Amino acid sequence: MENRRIFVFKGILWFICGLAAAVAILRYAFGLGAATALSDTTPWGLWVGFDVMGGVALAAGGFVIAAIVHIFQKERYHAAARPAILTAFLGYGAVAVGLLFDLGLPWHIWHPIIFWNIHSALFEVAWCVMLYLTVLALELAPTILERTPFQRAYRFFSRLALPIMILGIMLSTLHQSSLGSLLLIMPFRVYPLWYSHLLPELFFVSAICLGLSMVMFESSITSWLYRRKPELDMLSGLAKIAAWALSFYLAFKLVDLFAQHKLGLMFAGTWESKLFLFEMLISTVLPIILYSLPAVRRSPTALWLTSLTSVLGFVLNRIDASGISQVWATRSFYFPAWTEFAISLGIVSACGLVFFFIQEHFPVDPHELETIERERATVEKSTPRFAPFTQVWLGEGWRKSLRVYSLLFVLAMAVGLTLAPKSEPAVDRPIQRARGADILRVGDGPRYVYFDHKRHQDDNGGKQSCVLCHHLHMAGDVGTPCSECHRGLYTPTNIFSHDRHVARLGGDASCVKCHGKRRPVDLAAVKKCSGCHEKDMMTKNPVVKVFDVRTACSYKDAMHKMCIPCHAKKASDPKLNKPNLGRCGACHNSGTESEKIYLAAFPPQPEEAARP
Amino acid sequence: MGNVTHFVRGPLLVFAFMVFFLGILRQVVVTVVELWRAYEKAGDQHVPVSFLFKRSLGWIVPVNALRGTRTFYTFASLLFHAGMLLVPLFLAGHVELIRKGIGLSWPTLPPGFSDGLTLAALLGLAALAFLRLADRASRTLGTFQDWFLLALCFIAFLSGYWVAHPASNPLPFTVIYLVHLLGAELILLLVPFTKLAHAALFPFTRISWELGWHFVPGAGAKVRASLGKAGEPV
Ligand code: HEC
Ligand code: HEC
Ligand code: HEC
Repeated sequence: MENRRIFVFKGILWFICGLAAAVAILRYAFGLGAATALSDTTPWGLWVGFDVMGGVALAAGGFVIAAIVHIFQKERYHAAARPAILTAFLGYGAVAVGLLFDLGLPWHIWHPIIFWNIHSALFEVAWCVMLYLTVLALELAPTILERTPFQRAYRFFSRLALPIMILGIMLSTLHQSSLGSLLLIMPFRVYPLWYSHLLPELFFVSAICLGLSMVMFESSITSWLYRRKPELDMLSGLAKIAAWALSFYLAFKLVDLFAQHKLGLMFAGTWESKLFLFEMLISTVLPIILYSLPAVRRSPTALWLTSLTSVLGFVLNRIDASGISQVWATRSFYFPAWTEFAISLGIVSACGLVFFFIQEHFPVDPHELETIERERATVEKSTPRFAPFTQVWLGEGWRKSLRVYSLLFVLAMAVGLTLAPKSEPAVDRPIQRARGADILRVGDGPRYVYFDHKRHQDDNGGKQSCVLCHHLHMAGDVGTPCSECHRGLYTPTNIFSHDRHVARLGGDASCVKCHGKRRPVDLAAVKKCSGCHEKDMMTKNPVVKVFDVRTACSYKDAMHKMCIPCHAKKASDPKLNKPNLGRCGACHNSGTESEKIYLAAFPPQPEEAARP
Repeated sequence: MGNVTHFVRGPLLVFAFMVFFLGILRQVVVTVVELWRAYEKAGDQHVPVSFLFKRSLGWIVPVNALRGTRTFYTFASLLFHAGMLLVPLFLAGHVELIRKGIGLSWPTLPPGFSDGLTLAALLGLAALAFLRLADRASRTLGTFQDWFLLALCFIAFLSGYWVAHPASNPLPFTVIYLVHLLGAELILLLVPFTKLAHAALFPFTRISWELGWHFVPGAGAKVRASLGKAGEPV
């Protein structure tokens, strides 16, 4: 029987992948605006913080272990080398895939290869990713080739291993820090607690800490999943190294803050300072204490939890530095949309699945592979069956997983395609109902127009003039405010309620009153609104003569199309002598007489006055 | 009521279609993969795959089917299948809704003809149910699923007829409309997971039956000989 733990775990990963696949389709079909909560002021969100910055940092395990094993010659950690390189390769792969989602024009991703802009920090980042991904692929090659017929290639790559390893260590040293340089160029955006001239160095040191914790985390979770004895000896050794590395990072960070006279900021009580303290606590302080306790180092569970805490802490650090710590400068609120979480988790899940696949088919851990292959062989021998309804031949073992996983994937995809937003959310402001009949403040947001209702009435012919603007009223009402129907500042409103009409017109028998007897029922042949509402809603208006659709245009259009034609006509009236009446400034103007009268009657609220 | 209708004709409908399309795609892929694995394992690998494939496709042609052994049953089934395939896809009202939803449209059936097909399908379904009851073998072999799907299709067609002819509809319009929508959505949701999957899998069914006889080399030949059909696939 297959291992239940790994079966359930992979099922969950497949489900998340299905969700992400659905979101991915919509992201490419409808763009970033629909798929994310990002905006022009917050262009870097979860995807950059987690997938790119976090992915690169998570992959640091690769070079850290390579350095420990091959440069410091600590053979004790050899067993961790192949899994660590695999993790690093997948981490960098995740970065590349994540970028394809996050870039506005993902098909330009190859540009840095051809168009060199050597003054750009991103240029360095792009080249490091490309080169290091290649190097990691070369480092991984022997593992993949070892049990294949391509023995010559295997021997070739094995001989290449050491120089490549050294190249890899160099490149990732460069790259971990170049991500820091990326933030170095925005001193006015990154919050002071995170900003430092030593950001590249800080990123590098923290990547080492994160890499160590990541190797421990990944090693203990795979041994739990495959029910294998954890390599406690190796883990506790790594924990000791990690404790030293973390202490160094902590000291480095504190000295750096001290040198910049920013220590006080840590306790300033702002939410940024609290976030910073929290981040330092879970990423550094807590793990240092725990890794130093012998009791923790002896317990696989405790090590697993501690390394997870530290990993989460450092991922949070990357998200903070590249996103959250910039909110104070942009003053825009950003919280990732669920679709962003789906993509990020989906990429991680896909990496996990590839990791398991390689682990189960290639000698990442030769000993482990033998056990897995023995299990697989027993499963293969079981008797086949046919599915009762679909008449499909069913096997056991991995074929069962094929069915269950594909089912989960497909269901998740269906859910994702149903729920994910299909268009950019309409940016709109609800309209404030204008107050009073004397002077109305028309519109909302920073652009008010002070409309002298009474003067307009007097100038245009007294009570008879109402109909010049009020073209439509709610049934039985007169002079219904425009905002009752033109409800969105920029988007049109549907004012027609089908349900209410069915109820008012006499239930099911009344369909024919509007739709006639023609079949199929279509909207082209439906009775016009004015066919019933001529008397109770419409007035003879010179601008809006008809009423035959259910959508009232946006408030802005309603105002412009109503006010401007009359103003334009009156501007050439010599008696009135207002030649500028047809221009924007006639209404969009501050300091008018109407404004003064209005403000005297309704002094602005304090928070309104504070608005820019 | 407005909210319920909104949900049923909005997200739920999209979900049903997604499960339908993706689920069918999955079934086809899984079937092909599994058949391949079964073939690899079979003791006797002389499987006339393309012959069987063509043979199963040949059953779509009604004339071939009606020449079979149970003519009346096949005729009832043909009526039902004609309605089931043509009405949902080519009813003018459906096409109009699809055009409004995603902008695609195609030629439609004249209203009178689709009404006729609907009534014929209802008749066919009733006949199928009757034949199922009348025949002892079908009565004992029938499962809950067989009866449930029969009833579900009947409800979907009947409510559809009433939605199109509100005058002859005994129930409030919204109720019958919801019943029709929910019935149709349930069918879409069930297609990939029940025997309705034959809508997509029928070309493979024969191959998988045949393969069953190939696991033990020579098993199929013995059966053929005792059926007096030596030389043909089982
Ligand atoms: C009872 C609802 C209602 C009220 C109140 C109302 N409108 Fe309208 N308005 C509509 C509808 C519906 C239309 C579209 C009519 C059509 O095109 O058949 C419309 C159209 C218009 C148009 C024409 C837009 C175009 O694209 O040509 C203007 C201008 C307009 N309204 C201005 C106003 C103003 C100004 C007020 C307030 C004084 C007002 N409306 C009050 C419902 C209303
Ligand atoms: C067959 C006649 C008929 C047609 C066509 C018709 N209506 Fe109505 N409408 C009514 C009746 C009857 C009422 C109820 C009046 C009342 O409550 O006094 C009503 C009420 C309304 C109301 C007021 C609801 C309220 O809350 O007070 C609005 C708004 C309205 N209709 C909009 C429309 C629009 C927009 C159209 C065109 C798409 C339209 N109607 C077409 C008959 C009709
Ligand atoms: C029927 C014609 C007409 C319409 C419609 C109309 N206006 Fe006017 N408006 C005038 C005239 C005439 C004046 C000049 C009155 C005066 O100076 O005494 C004026 C003046 C104004 C002024 C003051 C300009 C100034 O120099 O002090 C504002 C503000 C204004 N209108 C806003 C609006 C807005 C907002 C609307 C639409 C909701 C609107 N008007 C619709 C005729 C119209």
